[in-house]
Amino acid sequence: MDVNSPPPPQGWHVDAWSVRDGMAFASYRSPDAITTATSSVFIGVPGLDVVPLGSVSPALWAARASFQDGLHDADGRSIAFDDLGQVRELVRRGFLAGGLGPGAPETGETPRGGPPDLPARLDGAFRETLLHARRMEFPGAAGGAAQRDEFFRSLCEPGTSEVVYELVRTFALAVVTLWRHGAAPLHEWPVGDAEDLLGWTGALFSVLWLHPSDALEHARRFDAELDVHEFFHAWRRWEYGAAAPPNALASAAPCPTRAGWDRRICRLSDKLLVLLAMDSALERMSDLGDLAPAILSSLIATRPPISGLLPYRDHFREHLRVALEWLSNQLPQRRLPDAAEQAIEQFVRDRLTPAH
Amino acid sequence: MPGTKLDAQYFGRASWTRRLGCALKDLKSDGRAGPFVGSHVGVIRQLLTDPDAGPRVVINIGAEALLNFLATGSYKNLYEHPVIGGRRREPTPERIQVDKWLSLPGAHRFYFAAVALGGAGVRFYGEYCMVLRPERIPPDTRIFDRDSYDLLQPPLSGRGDDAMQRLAGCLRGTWQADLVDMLLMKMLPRLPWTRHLITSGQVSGLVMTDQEFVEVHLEGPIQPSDIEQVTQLPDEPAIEASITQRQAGRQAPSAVELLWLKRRREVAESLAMAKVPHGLATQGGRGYQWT
Repeated sequence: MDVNSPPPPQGWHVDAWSVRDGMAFASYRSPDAITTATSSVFIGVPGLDVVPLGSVSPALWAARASFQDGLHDADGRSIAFDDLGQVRELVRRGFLAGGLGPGAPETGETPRGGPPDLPARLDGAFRETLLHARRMEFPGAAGGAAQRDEFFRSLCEPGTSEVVYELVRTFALAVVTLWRHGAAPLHEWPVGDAEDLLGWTGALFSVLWLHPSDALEHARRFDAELDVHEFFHAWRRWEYGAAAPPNALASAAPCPTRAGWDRRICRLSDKLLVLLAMDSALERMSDLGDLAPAILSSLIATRPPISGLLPYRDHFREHLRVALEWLSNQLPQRRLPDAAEQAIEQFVRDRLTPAH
Repeated sequence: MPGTKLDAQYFGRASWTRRLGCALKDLKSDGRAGPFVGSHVGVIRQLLTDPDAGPRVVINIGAEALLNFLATGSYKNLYEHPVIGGRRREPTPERIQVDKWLSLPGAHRFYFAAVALGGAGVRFYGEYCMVLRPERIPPDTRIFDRDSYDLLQPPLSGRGDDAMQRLAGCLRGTWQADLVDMLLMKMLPRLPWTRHLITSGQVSGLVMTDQEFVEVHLEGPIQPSDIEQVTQLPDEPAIEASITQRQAGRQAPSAVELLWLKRRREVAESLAMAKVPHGLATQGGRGYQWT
C-alpha cells in the first residue's frame, strides 16, 4: 500500500457466514484486518437479533467449521456495510435465497406432481383474465417501501382485486391438481407430505373457496382432476380445526409454469423466495399473472384461522389486503451495497441451476 | 500490551499433570484451598473419567449443514469454497498464523471441535450439537486449552513468532493423557473452596462456559456413523412453539420463520431416518444434561 494513501475506511464487515443456516458474525473494522475490530456481533435466524461478542475469536473459529470466510466482491475484497441493519438484511435475504431450489440432496425437497406446465384450459383462463388487467408498472427498488406499498394497495382496489381473485383462484386450482397428479393414494404418502397437501387445501377454503361444491364446480369448469373424497376430507379437517397449519413454503407444492416463465422454478415456494431475496425481482415482473404464485403463497401464510368468516369473493379483498401487507413486509427492506446485491443475485441463480 | 507477563505455572512447559500437582500444592501451602480441595478434585476426576457419562467431543452445526452431512456423509469445511460472493484474495493471515503456531501437520486434514460434559455445545456455531462417539476419538487426539484464535488477542498476542509457537505448545495436550488435568487446571480458580462440595452441574458448566471451551483437533473425516446423539437446548422448541402459537392466533409468521420451521421438520425427519438419537439437553435439577 502507498504510504501516502489514506487507510481504508472502517465499516461493518462479515467475518463468517453460514448463508443457508442464516447465521453470521460481523465486526466493525478495516476491510483487511479482522484483528482491528472494535466491535463484534452475532446475528442468527429466526429472530435475527444482534448479539454482542467480546472478541472476534468466535467468528474466526466459525470459519473453521461450516461457515464461509467473510463476504468478498469479485476482486476478493471484503464488502463493507454502512450499519448493522444492512448486515441483518443480508443475513435475512441470504437465508431466504438458501431456501430456493432442491436444497440439500436426498432430503425429499422435490415437488410432487406431474408435468410442470399450467394445464391448457387453465392457462387459457389465466390468459383471458389477464386481458382484463390494467397495465401494471411494477415498482422498482429505487422507489422505496412507500411506492411498493402504494402498488400493493392498488391491487386491492375494485376492478383490480377481482382480476387478482380470478388469477389466484385459477392458479390455486392448477397447483392442487398438479400436486395430486398421478401420485399414489394419499394414505400411501409420507405423513408430513399428506399433512402439507391437506393443510394447504384446507387453507384454500379459508380464502378462495366457499365450500367443496364451489371448489369442485370450479374444477369441473376446467376439467381439472380432483379426488372428491380427499377434497371433502381436507374440507372437514379444516372445518373442525384438525388440519395442521400449512407452511406456505412447503417444498412439495409445485409451481405450474407458463410460457415465458423461468422453467427452473418448479416449486411454488421458489417463486416467492426469488421475490423476497432479490431487490430487483419485483420490477422485473412482466404482468400480474407473474405475481399470482407469490400472492397465493402469501394468502396461505396469512390465511385466517378457523372462524365464521365467509370465505367468498366479497371477503377476498380483505384477505388480499392482509396477504399483500405481509408480502410487502417480507420483500427486501434495505438496499445493500452493489457488490452484495450482485452476490445475492448470483447465489439465487446458482440455487436454481440443476447442479444443485 | 506486547509480551504481557503470564502466570508461569499455568503457561509453563511442564506436563499438565505436573502443572496441576504444583498448583494444588501451592494452594494447600498458602492456605487458599480450604478443606474441600481434595474432595473437589476427587469428584471432578470421577465425573471426567466416567466412561458412560464423561466428557465428549461435540460439534455444533446448523440445520442445512446437518441435512447435507446426513445426506452426503461428509462433513465439509466450507472455508475454502464460499457459498456466496467472490473468493478471498488469499487465505486469512490470521488462520495461517494460528495454524503455524499450533504446528498442525497438514492443517486441512483437521476438524475443530470442542469438549463438553452435557449441554448443547456452542449455539453460535449452529443449533444442533453433534455428540461424537467416544470410540471415534483416538487417545492421541490433540487438544488445546482454549479457542486457539485467542492467541491473536491480548494478553496472549504481541510476542515474537517463536515465543507464540512455544506458548501454543504449552497450551496443547492429548485427549487421553491430558484432558482431565487440563480441565482441572482451568477449573481451579473457579472452585468453591471453602463452603460446600462441587456438584456435577457445576462441573458441566465449568467444562464449557458460553464459548469458552477446550478445543479438539480431530484428524480425518467425520461420518454420520460417528454421531452418538444430536442434542439441542430447549430454547429452540420453545421458539418453535411460540411461532406456531402466534400462527394459530392469526399472527402470520415471517417468511424467515416459515423457512426455519420447515428446516426443523426436515432435520427431525432426516435424523429419524438415519436412526440418530435426537434429544434435548434438559435441566434435570443440575444444569443442562444430556437425556
